[in-house]
Amino acid sequence: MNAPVRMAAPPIHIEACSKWYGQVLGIQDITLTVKQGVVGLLGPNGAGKTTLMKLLAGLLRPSRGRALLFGLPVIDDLQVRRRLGYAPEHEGVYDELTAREFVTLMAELSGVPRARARDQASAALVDIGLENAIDRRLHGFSKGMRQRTKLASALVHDPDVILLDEPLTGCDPVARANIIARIRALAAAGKTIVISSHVLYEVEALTQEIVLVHRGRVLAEGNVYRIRELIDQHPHRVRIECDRPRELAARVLGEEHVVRVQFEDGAVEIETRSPDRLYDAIPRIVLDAGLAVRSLGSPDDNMQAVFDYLTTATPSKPGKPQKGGK
Amino acid sequence: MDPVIKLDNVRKRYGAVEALRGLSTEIHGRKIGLLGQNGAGKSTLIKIMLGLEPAEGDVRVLGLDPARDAFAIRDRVGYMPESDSYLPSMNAVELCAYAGELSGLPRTAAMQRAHAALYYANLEDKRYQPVAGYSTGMKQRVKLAQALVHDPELLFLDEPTNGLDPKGRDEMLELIDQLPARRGCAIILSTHLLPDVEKLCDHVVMLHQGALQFSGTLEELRGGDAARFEVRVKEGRQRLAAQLRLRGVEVVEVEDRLLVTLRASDRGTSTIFTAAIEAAVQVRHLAPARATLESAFLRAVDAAEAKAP
Amino acid sequence: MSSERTVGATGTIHDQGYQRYEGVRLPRSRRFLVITRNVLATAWKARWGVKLPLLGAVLTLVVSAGIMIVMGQIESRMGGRGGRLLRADTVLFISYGFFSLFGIILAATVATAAIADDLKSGSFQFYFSRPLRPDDYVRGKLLGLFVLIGCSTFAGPVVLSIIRVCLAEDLGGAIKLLPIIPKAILLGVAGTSALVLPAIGLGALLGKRVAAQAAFIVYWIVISGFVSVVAHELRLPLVGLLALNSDVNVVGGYLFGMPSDSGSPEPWQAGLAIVVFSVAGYVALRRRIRSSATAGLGGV
Repeated sequence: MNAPVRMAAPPIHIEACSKWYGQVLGIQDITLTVKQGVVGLLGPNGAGKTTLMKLLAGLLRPSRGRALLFGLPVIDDLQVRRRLGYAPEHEGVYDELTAREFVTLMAELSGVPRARARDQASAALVDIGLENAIDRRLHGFSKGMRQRTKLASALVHDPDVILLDEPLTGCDPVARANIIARIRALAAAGKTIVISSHVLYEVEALTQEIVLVHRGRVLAEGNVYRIRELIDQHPHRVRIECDRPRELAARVLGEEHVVRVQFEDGAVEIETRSPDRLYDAIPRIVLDAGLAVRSLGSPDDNMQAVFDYLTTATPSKPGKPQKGGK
Repeated sequence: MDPVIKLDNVRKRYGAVEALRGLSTEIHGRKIGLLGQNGAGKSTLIKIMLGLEPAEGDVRVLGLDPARDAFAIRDRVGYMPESDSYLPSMNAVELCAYAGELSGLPRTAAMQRAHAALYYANLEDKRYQPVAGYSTGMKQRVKLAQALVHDPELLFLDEPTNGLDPKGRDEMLELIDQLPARRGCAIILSTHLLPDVEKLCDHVVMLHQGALQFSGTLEELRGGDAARFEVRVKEGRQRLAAQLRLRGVEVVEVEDRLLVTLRASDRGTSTIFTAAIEAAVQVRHLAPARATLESAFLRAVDAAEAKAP
Repeated sequence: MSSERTVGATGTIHDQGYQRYEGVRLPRSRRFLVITRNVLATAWKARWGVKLPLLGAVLTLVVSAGIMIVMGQIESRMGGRGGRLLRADTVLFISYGFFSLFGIILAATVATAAIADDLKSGSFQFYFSRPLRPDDYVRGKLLGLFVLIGCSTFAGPVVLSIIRVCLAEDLGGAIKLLPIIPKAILLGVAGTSALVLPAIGLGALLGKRVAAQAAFIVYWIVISGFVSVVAHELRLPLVGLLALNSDVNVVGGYLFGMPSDSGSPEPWQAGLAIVVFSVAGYVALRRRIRSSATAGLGGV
């Protein structure tokens, strides 16, 4: 095809963005594109996550660079901002309003015409499971209910891009399950959702795509399992519980991708530079030796491990970016 | 072993509201998770156990009755609160020593144990700085230290990982996990983060709208069928499922996993490996399938709501 | 020459593991003293707000004692003409104004904050999850505050009165002067209560340290002064009861035989007003503690 294809602008695109407050650095030189679906924004406290979120939400002007929503700068263009919903971590105090009044107010502020705002607000609250408390003052709401009200106010105007900062803090398991289901539904409907949370298994329940921010920069982005594979300093650990772990280990020691073997009661943990080769070899070994395997898995092939390894390791070769994966 | 907590038809009313409705159970175990939605009665129960609120029925904490021996109980129990709890202008050592003295320790002993508690909580470096200037993670650790300083036999922990980043969460959970072994106390962990409870606790108490929904071991709650396994592969899930079905094994696909039910005639998990080799599929995860605590919790809540009018 | 070095044959690693606490635990009835000590230690750390007025009180004491001694010398040289007792008592009475001023500063700095700070920073959970009764807390705090502010408004007059007695020429004179010591004690108690209890009560009512401090200072310095002047001019002594500082002055004046003024309330009325204000402050304090002591405990 020779004719140039007109690409739709990505939902979120940040270009060479930096933000500082006096001498305090928020973020440095971040370039990032976010596509449709759920992406997890991770990072230690103080890494710049909230600054990044606020830049995406158009609440901060970048000191340098641009933040674009569907190709248009989000800071100045109100029309573009109407396609955005933001639920910040700390909400303002509106305790005197009822849930319905609050969300209606937020709806109007987000551009929903007054005639429809109340109905849409009510619908949003019912959707999020708060129909029983819809006319109660926010003052008496539990943390979980407040979180859900916040979420409703971020969704009431049916935005295409949704930014959630710690949406699940203080929520009880029922509210949690509720919100996670809602987010999944939104992703399936084609929305773009950026969720920032410290509770990594919650992010894992929603997505495999992450952006890891550290010291004001993007340290890693993409599929968390591909990122894991790129972390050379930490060979993959595979843990097998079986009846004769030492025999299993003995049969595997000859492979040169095996770096270390560690025994526990009834289990063996094997560290390997090439998880593919190890996983491929195991079934054959198990059947040949007639081992009874109770479990097999990797304790560090997950978001928590990626987070730990990347944020505590000192870079081995500074400035050398790695790319990989399918 | 004596039960840590014994409840016998415990009831509590606040005016017209029944906060607790006839709780009866004996809780054994050293690592107990206290679960329930907001408003289920957890905080009321904790206050009753600490002797801060009266209640009907019989309550025994470490064998003592809070109605009569509230102080003796609080001598032996430590409480790590959820919200900020420190006295302005104090540093960590002063705060913990003060805590110790309020629990009856003499001055020097309180000071020594304050340091020891702060070492345990990994706050060695910053203990002479005012608590007001601490990061969230450090504040949480001070809260833990002040709960430990008087050598409690039982420790209540209320959302101990609140506000911590992933590294902080991990460290805090590690500290808590070690408590029974290294400090000799039993722990009651009250939190909404069910996977944390799964990792740390062996017993669970679940409240729903003031009534006892469940009290027992984690194993009992999650159930688990010895013959069911969950399997995750790198790719080619359907091929593996097909291979297994060919061998007459029951397979269900759930999200990104396969749930495999083996029969006695299968030679354990080897059947799965054989099928994997045949289907040229790389197995990456294999484990006995158990209900997660979350699904057990949600099921229990649904069951309770179904029974309620 | 062979060097004989004895190579050690043993090595030890000491167990730094956890030790349970087997020692004594202090009786519960004395726990409130821990809080008292804490109030004083915290106050001492507050630097200028506390150290300056205390210094001022000490200075007042020294200067007043000095004046008393000098006056005593002058009197004896003048051969005992009239009102020696009166003179010394005048010094006591006037110095009380200064002690009171420093007491006000101390109360504004520390007493208003004593509860308000705790209310804000979640300290109640800290206190009441421990083996501590609300009563212990109240007693401990009040004792600490009484001791602190009493350093000025109680110790000041009492020490001065003791010095006065010691300055008497002979034992007989000393014995005649003895009654001023209990009078000074009474004045000290009245004056200290009038400062501590309303201050802490304001802190308990308003819940915010800055608001309580502002209210306290505005009341004590502005309103109180204004009301007492107005009441005096308009000859409405009962209205003047609302001004705590004048109430204390009236009581002090009565105790030390100062001439009373027709515009001032009766001493017993003034005393009663002090009692009423103090009790009100105490009640506000108790109620606040009762209602919020365990409010936050246990989480949501």
